[in-house]
Amino acid sequence: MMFKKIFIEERVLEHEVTRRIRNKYPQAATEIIENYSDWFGRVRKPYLEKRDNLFLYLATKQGELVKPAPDAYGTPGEPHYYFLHSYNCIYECEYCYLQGYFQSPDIVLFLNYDDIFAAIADTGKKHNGKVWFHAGEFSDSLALNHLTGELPRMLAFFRAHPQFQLELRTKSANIAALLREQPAENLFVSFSISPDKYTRTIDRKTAPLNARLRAAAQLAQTGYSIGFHCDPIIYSPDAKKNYHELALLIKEMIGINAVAYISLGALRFAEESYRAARANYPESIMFLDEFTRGSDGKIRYPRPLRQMLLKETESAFLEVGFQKEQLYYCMEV
Amino acid sequence: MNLFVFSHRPEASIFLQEHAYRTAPIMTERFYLADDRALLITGEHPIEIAARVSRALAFLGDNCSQVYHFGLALILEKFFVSNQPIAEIRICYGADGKNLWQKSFSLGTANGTDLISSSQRIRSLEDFIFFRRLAALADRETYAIAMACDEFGLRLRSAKYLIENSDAIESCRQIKNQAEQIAYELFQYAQNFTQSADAREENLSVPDGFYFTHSMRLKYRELLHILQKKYNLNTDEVLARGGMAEIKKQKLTPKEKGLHLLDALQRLLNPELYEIRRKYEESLAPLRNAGWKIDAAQSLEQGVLILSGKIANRHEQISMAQALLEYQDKSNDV
Ligand code: SF4
Repeated sequence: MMFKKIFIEERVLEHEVTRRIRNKYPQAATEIIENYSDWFGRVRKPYLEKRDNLFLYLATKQGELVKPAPDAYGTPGEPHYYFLHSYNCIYECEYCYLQGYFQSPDIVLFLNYDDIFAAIADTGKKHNGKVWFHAGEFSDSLALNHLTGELPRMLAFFRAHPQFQLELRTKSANIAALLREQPAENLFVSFSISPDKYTRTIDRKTAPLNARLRAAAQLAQTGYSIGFHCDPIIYSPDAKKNYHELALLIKEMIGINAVAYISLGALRFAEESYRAARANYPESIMFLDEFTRGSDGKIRYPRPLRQMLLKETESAFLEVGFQKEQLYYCMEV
Repeated sequence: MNLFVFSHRPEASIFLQEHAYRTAPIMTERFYLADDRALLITGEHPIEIAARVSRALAFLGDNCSQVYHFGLALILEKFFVSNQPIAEIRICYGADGKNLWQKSFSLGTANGTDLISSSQRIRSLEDFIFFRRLAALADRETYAIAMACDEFGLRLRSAKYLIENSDAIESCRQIKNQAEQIAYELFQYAQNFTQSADAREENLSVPDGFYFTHSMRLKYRELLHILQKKYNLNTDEVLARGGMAEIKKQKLTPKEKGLHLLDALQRLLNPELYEIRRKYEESLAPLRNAGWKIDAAQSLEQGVLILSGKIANRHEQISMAQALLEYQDKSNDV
């Protein structure tokens, strides 16, 4: 991966991460700017430019740093928030909703970690029990952690606040930094997975399924809490068989009891992302079935099809020995 | 037909010589037609450009399938530009002074160079620094042309002769020899460039004995495409699986045969979903027979029964109420 240009906000010019990244990419042209938002997304940059014309912004995030997660986003019955530490992703999953979300695929890394942690602490104070904080709503939580070096500080903050549950959600196997850290019960690493035939075709540039599962196994052995997201589930007549095999793999490699939760979510798109995905990947195997507009405005499989798909996937996990309490439907209407 | 757009006459000179153009009935000073192509000289003010390209496209209507623009561009950032004299454009951004236009246009050359069209001339160092953050090249006209094309659902392709200094653009246009040389190089370049991009819509043949309206035709094309890919079959194999031969033998009008074929292809797309819908429709039949109007697709999607009805007399009231009482929701049986 190579950034063609690096935009650096003046106030993070001397930041350790800025220095590290500039050393790592000495050939990249750099521009010093006042505020990333004057440039990032100001004009629409086509999504597929991320392949060979990717810019990086090193910036500070002002305004809202922690946001409530949408309904039915995480494990039911507990408050969920996500915090903003970066925008966009180096991977290229064909269904990624980011392709319709920002005006640009360029990567933004926010380096004002202390402000972000302060905002998390403030939000967490409003709740008595467990509160979830998800990293990676607008990016992959771990894909670039070797560049940012943000994990040690992030984990230290959450270790000091055991009532806050941190979820790092990833399709990478970039766990070296995690293995060097002290795990804790409130530190969850979750892997988004699909049957191998999908991870190989539509999760472009991500870690292969086996690498993700091996990473999960290593982290579980080290003491991290592990979650899985079977999301998006793509329809095929042999979906149940495929998820049965996937459930068996998880059972063998990680063990049923080491898995804190598994979310199940059928393929769906926000309208903008649907249009973008159809334009970016017109031949994708995702589009070999019919879609309709759900009552929430999202583009989904027709309801009978997605209900059938979710039930079949759920029963594939139950048959292998996972418990109903470990499974939940994500963003389903 | 292809439309070739230039902002100035010097760049168009060889193109005009090499084809038997005649003056068009509109914009006679600047718009020319040949058998398989048209050529427009727009001038360089963005508003004029957008208006003139739009007028030409409206005149050509469905005959125009592709628009090309050739011209000059200023190099803002050498680092991102190859050593060739002509660059194809990948994305075009637009700016009015320092205000950037939100929309950008992809011009279809995946490994081309990015360009920003500025409504004002880029002369100062400050301008160079500002604009090169977005793009390696600059001009005044491409954005307006791309915008007009976009309005007509056409994609623009563009190649630019590269100039290093903004004053040189004016001199190139004024010094005859240089202008001719540039026009010649652009013309040469255009020969390959236009051929490689001549992507015409593939002809879709409707099977004999079947009739499709426009919307049925679109559906047919979509279903064929998906089914070929889904089952790895060619068109004939898809149609055979859809039972085309049997449908053809039936005593139906060509349009009815078309509808049956679409239905068969839809079933092939997802037999399970088709079956669910069929059963659901079956369960609704008594309600429909009793006079209820039902939005089956939305009812199934939302898991509620969406119906409306008109009751004119006591008899209808009883039979419609009876049908409702007897109705059993099958939508949740999957
Ligand atoms: S890993 Fe996540 S954020 Fe990255 S491209 Fe895939 S879906 Fe998008």
